[in-house]
Amino acid sequence: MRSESEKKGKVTSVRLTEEEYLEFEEAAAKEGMTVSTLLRTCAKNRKSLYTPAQKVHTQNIANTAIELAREYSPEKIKFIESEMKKIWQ
Amino acid sequence: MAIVKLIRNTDGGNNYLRNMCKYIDNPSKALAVGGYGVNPYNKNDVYNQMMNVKSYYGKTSGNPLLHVVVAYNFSVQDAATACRLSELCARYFSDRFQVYYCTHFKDRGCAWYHTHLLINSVSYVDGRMADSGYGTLDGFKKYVESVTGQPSRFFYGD
Repeated sequence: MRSESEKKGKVTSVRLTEEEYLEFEEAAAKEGMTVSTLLRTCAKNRKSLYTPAQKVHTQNIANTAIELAREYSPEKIKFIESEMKKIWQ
Repeated sequence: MAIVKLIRNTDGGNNYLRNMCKYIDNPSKALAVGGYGVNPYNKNDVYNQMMNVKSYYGKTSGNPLLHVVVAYNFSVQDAATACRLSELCARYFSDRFQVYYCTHFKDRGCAWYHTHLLINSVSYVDGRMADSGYGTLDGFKKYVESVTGQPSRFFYGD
């Protein structure tokens, strides 16, 4: 069950132009989200350099690199892992 | 017959996730680990990376993961085959969810090898929660049948 701290009990309104409204609606539909979720997620993560999908795809590439490094260059594994940690921060 | 079990009792919230990351990598049972969207070679990284996605979408509470176990029948007789099947099973969920998986060897009476799949409950694509309903898991069961060539049975467990 979702914790009390994650319940979304507050409502606010945002002034938008007609064009912005349509743009956000279209973007939300494309992402499979509501406009509310889209705006909240963007605002909350405005300082994030990467989206979760970008992190995941990069991690998958890093995993392949780690597998290869195990065979050919094990000393590189720590470097790959530490660089990935920076991306996940 | 392959057996697909979804473990529903995930009491303990995110501690359950942390504990399962430790458990499935238990050296006395684990043959090989793998992952999609997580670093499978470091269980602390796995936990932090799954929490990172939950946090991004503001969903750090509630059900922390889907825990699915796939047990192969005795026709799977070697670790290499079991590990390859594990990877294929994990791939089913990987286009939307992070997956950490591990192949175990244990004589369960009906199987020698089984795979634990820990699937983040929050999608890295859009933040939606994973569906653990019958339809989704029945779809996975059919997929397991297609990749293993074994008829499969699916059930919910604790």
